[in-house]
Amino acid sequence: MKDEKIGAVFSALGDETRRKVVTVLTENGAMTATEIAEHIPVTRQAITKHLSTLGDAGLVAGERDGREVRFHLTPEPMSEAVAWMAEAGSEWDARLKRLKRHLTK
Amino acid sequence: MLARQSWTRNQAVAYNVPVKPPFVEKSVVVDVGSDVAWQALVEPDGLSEWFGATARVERIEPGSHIEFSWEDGAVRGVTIEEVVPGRRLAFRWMPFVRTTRGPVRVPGSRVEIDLEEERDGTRITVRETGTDVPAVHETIGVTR
Repeated sequence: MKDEKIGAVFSALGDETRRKVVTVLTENGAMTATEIAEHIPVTRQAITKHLSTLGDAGLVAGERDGREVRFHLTPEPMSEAVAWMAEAGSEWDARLKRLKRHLTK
Repeated sequence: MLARQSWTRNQAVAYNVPVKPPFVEKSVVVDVGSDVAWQALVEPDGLSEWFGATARVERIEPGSHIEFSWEDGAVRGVTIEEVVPGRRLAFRWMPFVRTTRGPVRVPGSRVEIDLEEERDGTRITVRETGTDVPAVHETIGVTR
């Protein structure tokens, strides 16, 4: 269900702290939750929770590195979100075209 | 993959309280007065025809609902937020769609339809903005 996936992406990025997590990962590459917490003024536990939400939306993935898990961005779902917005635009194009036709009858 | 440099450039936007540019802005000029154009927005038969989904309209007033049903069985509601007859209709999409397989969560957004009389008729402009949408738009805007 594509729409549902995109809904999760929008919802995940609708939170300011999670956007910061994404930005920090973009600038630093793969990091542990502890390392991310050094850049953002919230607890490591909170970061872990945000990473889990971002993970559910398909935006980050974790890889075990010895005793730690390092997280990196998996930005593909973002392009689907962009495609969703483009689709909303073409739906309105079609509607306005029909509206114009409806009003010139 | 996203370019690191672009992200840094965009950082200020990602960190700040979101400004909310519309992610859809479309307009068309129709050959009728704004009163006639307005009727096509609020009258259920006309609305259903151009919208591409059957519209069930409660009342055209703020707080009231319109329910759109598509041929594939999907149903999505809007809550009317602003009504200025002959000028503006604004509504908010519910953040879910009822489908034959159950409810599906989708991004919520607000739609503003503005009518403006011009010499040749009426300009109809549609703008769609979203609470969640701009955040994504701005975070990833650099990739477009």
